[in-house]
Amino acid sequence: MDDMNNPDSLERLAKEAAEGAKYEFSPGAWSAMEQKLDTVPVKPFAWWRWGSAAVLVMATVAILLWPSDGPTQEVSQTEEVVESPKETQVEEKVLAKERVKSNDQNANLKVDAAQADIAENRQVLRSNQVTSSTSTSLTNIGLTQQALVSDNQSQTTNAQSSVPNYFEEAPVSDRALSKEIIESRDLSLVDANYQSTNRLFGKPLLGELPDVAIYQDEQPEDEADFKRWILGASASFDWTSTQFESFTYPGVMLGITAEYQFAKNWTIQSGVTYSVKKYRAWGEEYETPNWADFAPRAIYAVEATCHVIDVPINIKKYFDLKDNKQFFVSSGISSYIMLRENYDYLYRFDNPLQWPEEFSYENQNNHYLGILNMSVGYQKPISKKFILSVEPFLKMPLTGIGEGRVRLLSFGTNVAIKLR
Amino acid sequence: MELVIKGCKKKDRQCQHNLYRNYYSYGMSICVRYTGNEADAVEVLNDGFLKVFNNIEKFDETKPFKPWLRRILVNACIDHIKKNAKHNQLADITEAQLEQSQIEAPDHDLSYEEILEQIGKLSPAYRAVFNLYVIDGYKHHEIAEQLGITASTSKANLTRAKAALRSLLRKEVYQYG
Repeated sequence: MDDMNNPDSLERLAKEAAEGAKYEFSPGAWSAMEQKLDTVPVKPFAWWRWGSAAVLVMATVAILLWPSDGPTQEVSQTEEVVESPKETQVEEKVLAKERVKSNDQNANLKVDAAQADIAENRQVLRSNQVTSSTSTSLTNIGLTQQALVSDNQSQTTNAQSSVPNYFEEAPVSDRALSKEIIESRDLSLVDANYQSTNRLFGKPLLGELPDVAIYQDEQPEDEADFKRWILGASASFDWTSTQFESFTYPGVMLGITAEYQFAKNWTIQSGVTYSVKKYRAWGEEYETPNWADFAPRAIYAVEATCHVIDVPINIKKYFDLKDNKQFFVSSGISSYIMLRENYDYLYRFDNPLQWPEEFSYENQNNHYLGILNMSVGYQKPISKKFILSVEPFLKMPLTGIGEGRVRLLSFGTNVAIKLR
Repeated sequence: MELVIKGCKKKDRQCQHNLYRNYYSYGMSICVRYTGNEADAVEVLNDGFLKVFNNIEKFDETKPFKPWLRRILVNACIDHIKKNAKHNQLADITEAQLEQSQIEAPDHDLSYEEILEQIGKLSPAYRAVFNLYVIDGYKHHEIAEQLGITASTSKANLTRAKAALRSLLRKEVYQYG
């Protein structure tokens, strides 16, 4: 220490002391450290992230729901755009009606004659790409599918003798013409083509065009809209937890839903679902009740049973498979209305202050647009009107749920019967 | 050590304990010279390790752990000094000497731990500057930024800190009558 006056020596000594000092490990220090580690606060939600996701979903819904004109097709300017005179259209409709209602071959002959004239004028379709807008609401679904189904019908027309081999491939031009006529949505053209060629999509029809195909354009618009609606009833087990790995007992979920098809293979769905959510939350995950404000580490765990009304708004996209089966994906947002929350509290110590060990809340908490829904599913028709659907789902919170403001995850598999 | 750090990333309590135990001595040698006593040093050490455990996932385990830990602990010590220091501006050296004169003169042969304790007994302003400059290798403008003082104040405090420490480490006891 004699060379203490030397600044370099002092610095060297200080550095040596800093590097050479040894301190014996203190278990008390580690205990204090453990207490700090056990009091780690719950991470706040990344509001901005989930809020952005919610805004994105709502913007998508708004864009998709933005009112637009009904399905129209452009009129391409060609030299010979096919448009029948008004009187002829009215006449065609009347004749078509007569044919269906009477189911009389004589009436059919009358139609044949009238349509033959029209068919001649419609030969321009062979050379032009024609599309037309129409005021009638022919649907492709009923017309094309039913037409192909009629291959199996036993009735034959008077053209049966000249019908070629059913399995023989028709010329391409015939198929193309049939397709164009179908897509033109002009029933009269369809009828005329059928009468003149006895083919549809290049294949002969063994029976009459079914009535429903002719009736399609006569259906009032509200009936057609009604078929865009799909009602459903669903049931599921509901597994709920605050973390992905700590699910306990499942609750149940029962609901009724309504879907509206606003575009091909797109629907928007809403409804009401009642669910019982059972979960366990650790003390750190559960917001300290007011009676334990000054002792935030007092609660060890909370067992919860919550009765919840879930109001979802989902967008669904369907993908067609064979035999009218469909695969779909869905995403959206739910609102939770907490009808009743029952909590059992487990404390870290013997509860000398006599804090409540169970507590219930009724209609205390609502979480609007606070849950993100995601699901995929598969459905198949089980009859003409009913559809069976299986849909695994996951619900993730965008906000703290319930009195404890916990991050409540729910998943299950909805089994639903839908009515179209 | 890599396995221990990986375990700490998974919040494994045993790995956290191992890490804490392995670096306890090293951490205390930093914290004692900033705080001046072991009790406060443990408090600051635990605050520092809490930050380590909460941010360990950001740590690249292929890099050395000690410098990262050192930086966190020094910052924790600085926060402690700022919280508790009454003066962090230029202090009158006469006053500093007057304070130190009331402390009993150290023994002849001081251990490293005792030397660090003597460093910790400097006034907060001197102590912080001395530790940051001499032992932790910061430059005066960096110290000024950390402590919220000017670079010239930092230089002045360093000079005075050395003088004060020198007097602490001498065998004589200063008397003011």
